[in-house]
Amino acid sequence: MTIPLNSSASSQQPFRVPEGYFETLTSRVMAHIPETTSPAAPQRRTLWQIVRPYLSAAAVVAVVALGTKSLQQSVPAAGYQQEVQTQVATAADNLLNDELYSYLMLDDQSLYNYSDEQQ
Amino acid sequence: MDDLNSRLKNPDTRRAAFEETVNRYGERLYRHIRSMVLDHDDADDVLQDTFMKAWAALDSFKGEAQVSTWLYRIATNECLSFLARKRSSVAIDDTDVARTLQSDPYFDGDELQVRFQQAVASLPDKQRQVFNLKYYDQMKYEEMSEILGTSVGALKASYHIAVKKIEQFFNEDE
Repeated sequence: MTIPLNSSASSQQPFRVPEGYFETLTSRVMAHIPETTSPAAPQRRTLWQIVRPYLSAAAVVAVVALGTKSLQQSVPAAGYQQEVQTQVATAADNLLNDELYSYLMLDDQSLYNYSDEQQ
Repeated sequence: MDDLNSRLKNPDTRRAAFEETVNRYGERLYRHIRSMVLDHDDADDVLQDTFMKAWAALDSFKGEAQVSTWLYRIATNECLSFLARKRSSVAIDDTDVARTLQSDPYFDGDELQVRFQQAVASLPDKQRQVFNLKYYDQMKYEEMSEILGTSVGALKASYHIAVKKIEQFFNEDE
């Protein structure tokens, strides 16, 4: 029996492939490779987003100042400090709730873009 | 050497470069894998696994070796793993090899080729790998050495022994 070791014909593999196998190989492999996404562009902050924290702080200070003044005019000295604290806390809560409400109602599309990416 | 290495390392060009890589080396890798696992469907599975692992390992690809060498290294490891898993689940002998080939619609060999494949399949897996890379891929020993991490001298000896074993396999038939 002749050993096909020195025959040039035998150095060709006797293995066939289905029709079109190599033509579609790349697309089939790449179908399992994730699409790379470029890093998200840095979010540009609006003027309102930059200024809002400072306005909030200024509003709190103004409320406290006004409340202190009105308290001085209407509340006896004995319960003064407690009343000031209560009024400041209430004003701050109201302001924060208002701010939160405004924040949630902001028509800022970038927020929705972020949540889309998260999905 | 073209800039394929650097494009594979660059995240911005990586995917397109990888697609080019599959295009360039897919058939060659398939042929080698097929010579090891014999069955087309198995070869396709191992080839897909090879490219998936290559993609996942791109960050660790230093670009010092050629892309083909690196891919062959992954493919040879995948072949050995596949054969080890197959052997752990079912004992494979000459009869199984002959049966597999004769029932394979994608095997075009005659009886002599079946015997030849049986002889090659009887070699230890790593020696068979050396034999196939030399015999079918006509790969130079230097490149083989980079892929398999074995010295050129050891590879030459391994190939020589493989040839002797195959000849002996046929002589036992007579």
